[in-house]
Amino acid sequence: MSVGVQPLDFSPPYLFPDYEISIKRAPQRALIELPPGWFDRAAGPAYGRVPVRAGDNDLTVHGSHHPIGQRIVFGGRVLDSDGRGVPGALIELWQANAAGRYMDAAAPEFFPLDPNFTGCGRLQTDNDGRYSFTTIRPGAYSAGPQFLFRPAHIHLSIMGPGLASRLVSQMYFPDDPLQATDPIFSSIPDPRGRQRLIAEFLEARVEADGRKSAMHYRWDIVLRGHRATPMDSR
Amino acid sequence: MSDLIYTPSQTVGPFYSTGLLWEGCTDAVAASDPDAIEIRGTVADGDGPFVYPDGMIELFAGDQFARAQTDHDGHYRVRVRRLRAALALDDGQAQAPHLYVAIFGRGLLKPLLTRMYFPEQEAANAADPVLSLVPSDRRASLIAQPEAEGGLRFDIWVQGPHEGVFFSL
Repeated sequence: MSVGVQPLDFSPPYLFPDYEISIKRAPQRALIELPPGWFDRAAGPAYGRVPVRAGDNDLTVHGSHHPIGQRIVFGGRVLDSDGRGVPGALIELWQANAAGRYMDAAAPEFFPLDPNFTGCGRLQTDNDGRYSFTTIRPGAYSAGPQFLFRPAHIHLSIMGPGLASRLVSQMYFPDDPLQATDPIFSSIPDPRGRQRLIAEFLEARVEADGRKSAMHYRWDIVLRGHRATPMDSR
Repeated sequence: MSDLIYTPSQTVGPFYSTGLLWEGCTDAVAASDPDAIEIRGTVADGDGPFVYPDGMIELFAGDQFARAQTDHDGHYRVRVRRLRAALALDDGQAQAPHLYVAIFGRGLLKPLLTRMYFPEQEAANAADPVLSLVPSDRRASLIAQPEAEGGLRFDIWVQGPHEGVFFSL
């Protein structure tokens, strides 16, 4: 097995009282611990049925017109515990539009819909574990008077080869003052873990075709788990 | 590599349906499959059901993967292929047939992982190495129950007097 140092783990707890609903949803009994090797090499969900079409990673071309908002491109690599790219990982994405409105039928109607923006996308990482999405920077969102505005964020679900590599998380943006008071972001117990969820601003890139000009961000994703055969070439 | 940090988990939130549900996602196999079986249940917390849109459940084993959203009563329904053959742990030990079950939802900052075993596999369940690690008075919560109209029932309480059994990864 790899002799590399294990990545640092700053998982949030199940119970985080500032995130009030966790109080009644966090298990109160200890999780069952299994001997090493029993689960950590088990296969994850077989996600081949999830439909991924070419263009599903560009959320700005799904309507008849360009959606309203600041165009952004973000991407990076999906890595395993050994720092190696994870090829073929499935990333599913959903987010609010520029006004802070989710298209989901269950979402409150405080902010306007954009008919040209569904806010969802999918892709599979390439042979080096790389990925890239083109979308709109989401607005901050509030679910109602009893809730704070949440900082701008993009939801992502990632599935790699293993049970251990299943991840659902959220990507945030640099210099957002709403992060400090957000109970979900704040549930991560270490500033290094919180920083891991914030995309790095790369550049405001002007393209020859101005319709492709965008703010560019980098966000790498580090999953638990190793490749089955550690001697694989990179 | 020493500065590698795992990407921390965050809640799936309540508004995931447009991103995570797709046509047919609840059905890992066709209804015509001779071993197709429906699994129904409720996901509940310390106060009551995970009502729509709060809960998401994934069941998977081998080539099977189903995903469902809990409804206005906290119920879910999926269709899978009934497993009959023993499975093996990485070290070769035999395991009773089972599906992995992951619970996501508003209020869950990271998923809860459990397993669903089949009620007709009494001998294999009794010898299963993972079930054997679970205190005996809690094992029954990992075994689905046959329903009168066919299919299986598998309820999951994440908290409260019937709190389920969840595994650490």
